[in-house]
Order: sequence, then structure tokens, then C-alpha cells
Amino acid sequence: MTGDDRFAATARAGGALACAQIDGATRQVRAGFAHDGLVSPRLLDLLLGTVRPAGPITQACGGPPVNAARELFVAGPGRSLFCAVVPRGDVVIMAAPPAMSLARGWALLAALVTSGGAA
Amino acid sequence: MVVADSDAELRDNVAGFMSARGYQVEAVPDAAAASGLLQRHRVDVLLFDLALRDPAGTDVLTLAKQAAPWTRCIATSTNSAARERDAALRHGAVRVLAKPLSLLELADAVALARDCAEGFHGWMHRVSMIDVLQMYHHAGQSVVLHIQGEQAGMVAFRDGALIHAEAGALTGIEALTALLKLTHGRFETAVLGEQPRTLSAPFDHLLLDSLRALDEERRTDDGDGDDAALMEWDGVVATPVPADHDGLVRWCSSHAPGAGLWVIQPSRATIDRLDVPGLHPEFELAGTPGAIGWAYELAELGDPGWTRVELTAGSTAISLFRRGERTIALGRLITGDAIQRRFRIECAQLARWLDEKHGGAP
Repeated sequence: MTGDDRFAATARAGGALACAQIDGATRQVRAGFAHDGLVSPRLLDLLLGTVRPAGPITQACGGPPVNAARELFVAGPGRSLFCAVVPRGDVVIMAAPPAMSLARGWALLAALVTSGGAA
Repeated sequence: MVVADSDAELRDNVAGFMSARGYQVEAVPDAAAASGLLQRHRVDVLLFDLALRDPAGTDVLTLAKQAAPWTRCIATSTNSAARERDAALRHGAVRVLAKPLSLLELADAVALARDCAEGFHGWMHRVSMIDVLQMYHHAGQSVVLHIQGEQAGMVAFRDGALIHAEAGALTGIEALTALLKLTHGRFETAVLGEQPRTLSAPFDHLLLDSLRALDEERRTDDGDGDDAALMEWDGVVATPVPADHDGLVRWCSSHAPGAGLWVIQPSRATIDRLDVPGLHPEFELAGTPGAIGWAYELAELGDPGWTRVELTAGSTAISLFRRGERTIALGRLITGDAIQRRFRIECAQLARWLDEKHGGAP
């Protein structure tokens, strides 16, 4: 089994709805499944810092921060999104059912970071 | 170990029993002899009768505190008045045992007294069950926590990991969830002995899973299913619950001390610090407010119907909770994995509190 296969298999076995390991520089998907429309390019730009936040709330907060994002979780009615920016700049993204607990979601994401060789 | 009691038969029985369990025991008939031993030798555990005189039982405790602060004391008493027991505990006795003595209770009390060689022991109040669990987890302790309340139960820690929980007939995660539901009661610690293993997941996973189970149970109990919740997120429920920011600030100061708390009103593009401005200036130094705006924009791009978002950036973690017209932000400096785990537990607690106390609105 290749690293790519292992990545997708780990996600499926863990109950993910979709997942992707994305090259932070080229935005190419290295591995995953059901990743079409998983996240928008704008979200990736904002997460990776190539575009800085500049919306009204950020302005009200005094401007964008200078830190680099490490992890992001977004809970919506239809899915929960778990993202990790790994040290070399790749992004691992996983969509999970809303019923999946946060603890399991973070644990599965950590397993994906490891299984995909992205750490 | 020193046993001080005027009853020769009891002295012999206790000395024989504890010697057989490997203790080096010195038995004396009066308080003066016990006081002399405390001053001349390093005594780990003193078992004495509160009815002793010259010096009186509680005076022995005072003497032990001054002359042998390393000695842990266990008092025994026949028909002792509540005042006498309270006085003994106030003067530092680890336990007050009723006569006639149960040798098994005695063995437990002596084991506890030995275990109190390090750290503090005493009486606490105004602590939540989660506070207590986190305290023993972070300290890496091996203890048993006996809980009395609407539901009696126990949890066992080994080296800071939760290994076992019981609540009535329940064990494992179900028992832990039942115990976390308690809002008041009392607890008492004991030495960890042989315990079955019914919990194996990491501490923070267990707590988050239990809190989630409580959320689901509450929604089922209320008949307030996901559909109703989603209608509220969609703005179908037009009348928000009045804001109670004071309550939020109080919750934060007692459950997430050191964290920052903000409220965002997106329609007016405003953000207000709810806890005392300047109380945690390190947040401003770390650029936390900017991370709040960043988290908000990421959430909008990630899912327009989002209800909660968490962003960890640099050494800052931010969690946003969208409740009707307002969004609550909780932020904390993250200086390591343990702090991040703690922050996630705080966020789960805050989400639960918002839902329970305010019907979804801040």
C-alpha cells in the first residue's frame, strides 16, 4: 500500500466524509478522496497566509495577526472541517460528520498527518 | 508508626495488625509518651485516641504540627462529638476513625496518611468535578476519588490517567458521563489500590467524549432536536434570549481563568472585550484580537452555516461560538500541548454552558 493509499484508507476507516493532503506551494492534491469542493481556494489562501484577513471584523480587531496558522476547526450543520498546516507547508484537511466528537476528529487528523507522511 | 491508646488490648491488636503489614510500630499508653517519641524520633504516622489527656488529644495534634510537621496523624474516638471531630480535622488529622476500630478502615487510613507525605491535604469547596479531575490529571497522580452526591461513584487515576469509573451500576465512560453530570456533592480521595481498567482513552478524549454525550443527552431530554437547533441558526427564531455578559464573565473567570473573552456583533462589525481590559495584556501582545477576525473569516469561508470555529495560530488559540446575532470568542495563549488540551476542554464546557444557561444565545 502506498502512502497515498494509506492516507485515504486511514481517513475512510476513521469515518471521514472526505480528506485531502494538499501541497501548500502548488495547491495540488497529493492524496485523499472526495476532495472536490472540500475547501475553497480562498480558504486555503487565507489559512496559509498568502492572503491576509482584511474583513470588517478583522479591522475592528485592529488588523490581521502576524502568526502562522497551525490548526483550524469549523463546525457546520452538515459537516465538521478539521485542518492542519504541517511544518513544511502542506495542508491536511478532513471533513467529518457533525456527530463525530472533537476528540476523535483531532485524533484522526493527527493520524492522517502521520500516515500521509506530511509531518 | 506510633500507636497511643490507654486500651492495652487495642494497642496490641493494632500493633500486631500493622506490624504484619510491614510497619514498624511503637505502642504507648499515654499522650506524654507519644509526644516524647514525636520529639525524639522521626515518626511517619501517629494513631492516637482523642480521649487521651495530659496533653489532651487535640493538643497532641498541635504539638505534632510544631515539633514533627512531617508526622501525619490519625485520631480515634469513641462517641466523639462533632465538635471534637471537627477540631481534630482542623488541627490536621488526616482521618478520625470511630471506635471500635475496623482494621480494614485502619489500614486504609494509614495508607492514606502515608500517601500524604507529599503535597497538601485538606478540604476544598467551590470546585467543579472537571476542575478536580483536571487537577489530578495534570499532577500525574495515582489516587481514587470517591464521590457522593445525587449519584455516588468513584474514579481512579494512575499516573494522571483515568483508568476506571463507577457510578451505581455503570462503569467506564458511561459512569464518567453520569458523574460529570453532577453539579454538587462531596468528594474524598483515597489511595489507589487494585482497580479494574474500564477507561483506556487519553484523558482529554474521555472528557470531551463525556461532555459531548451530556450535550446529546440534554438535547434528547429537552426534545430540542437538531432540526430545532438548525432553525435557530437559520434565524427562524427571531427573538434572542437577552444578553447576560456578566454571567459569561463569571463563567470565564471561574472555569477558564487566564483566558480572554470577547463578544462580536457582525452586523455592526464591533468586538468588545468582556473580561476586564488590561487584565491579560499578553493577549494584546500576542495579537489575539487579530486572530479572532482571522478565525471569523476562515469560518465564513469554511462553512457559511458555521456554529463554532477553533483556530490555533502561533501561540494563540481562539474559539468562536456563534449564537444568534452574537458571536462569543474565547482565547488563550498556548504554550504547549497540555495547555491546548485544557483549552479544548474549556471550549467544550463553554459550549455546553451557553446551551444550558442561555438556550443558545449569549
